[in-house]
Amino acid sequence: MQNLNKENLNVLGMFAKLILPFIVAFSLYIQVSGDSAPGGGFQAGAVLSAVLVMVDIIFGSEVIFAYFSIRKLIIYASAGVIIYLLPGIISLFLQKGFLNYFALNFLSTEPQKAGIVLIEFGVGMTVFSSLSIIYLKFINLLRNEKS
Amino acid sequence: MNSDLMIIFTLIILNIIGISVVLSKSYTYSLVNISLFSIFCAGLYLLLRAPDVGLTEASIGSCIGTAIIVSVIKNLGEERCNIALSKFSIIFYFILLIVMYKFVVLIPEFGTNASPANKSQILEFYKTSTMNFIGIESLVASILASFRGFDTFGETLVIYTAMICVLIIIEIKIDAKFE
Repeated sequence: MQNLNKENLNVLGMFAKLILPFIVAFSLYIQVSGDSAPGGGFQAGAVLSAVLVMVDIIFGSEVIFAYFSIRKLIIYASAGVIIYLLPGIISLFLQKGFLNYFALNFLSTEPQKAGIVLIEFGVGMTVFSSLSIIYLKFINLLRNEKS
Repeated sequence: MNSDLMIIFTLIILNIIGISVVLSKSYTYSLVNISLFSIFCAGLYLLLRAPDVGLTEASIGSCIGTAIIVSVIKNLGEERCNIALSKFSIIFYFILLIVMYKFVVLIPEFGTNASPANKSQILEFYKTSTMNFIGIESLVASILASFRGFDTFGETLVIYTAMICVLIIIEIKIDAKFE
């Protein structure tokens, strides 16, 4: 967390701190409005992990590991797959067939919309965690090898 | 500016960048060009009305991929990465380019009714039933998440499996270093 002090920031760091909330808000927007606007879970996860790459390059990996550990990210990725499976399993048990969102009519009056938003959330979690793990593992392997 | 003109302009720039990637002598130079190529590809996808593909290209192709390759080259040292092409391979690539330009003409024009993608009956079904049957505005989201939900599940599993494979490969202790 040393790197986020104000004295240590250079031009690049100030600029990154300035645009970081906007990119995160944009990725949340394309995650939530996946049913009415272009975008969706995959794009939101990719943009969020691009933010993580930016933070890693400019501030260093310690800032990221203060919030996420690799273990936590693996749990998020697995949770994303399970969230995707949930509507499928519910509809399977209600005798409607796998991933038939009309079985979710106890959740809302628009069951298809509810199912789509739910699975997009799962896809977003999996994509963000997987891409972040691949990047962080790769980068830290190379950094440790050199030192 | 007309949209068609913009598309042609972007394609010409893409060709120039691609040729300079092949002809570049140093890794730094070619990496900057590859990143630029990705950004112009994202713009091209936006012009061809596929903004979601453009978002993916911009974030994965131009940010994450470039970051990984840059750090690999920084750690390996640029003198160990020799990418200068021989004359034979440059001639081979140009012959390949000419063959590709010859066959690219045969692809039907973008967005016409003559192209096989727009002829199929299933597209009409998707178009009409997105609003009536699914009840959402986005055609892409309805196909991706509802009609083809099982395929998207497979896609998610592919990314998850890729992550597991990277973890396994990196965690294994390598005795013999790559030399």
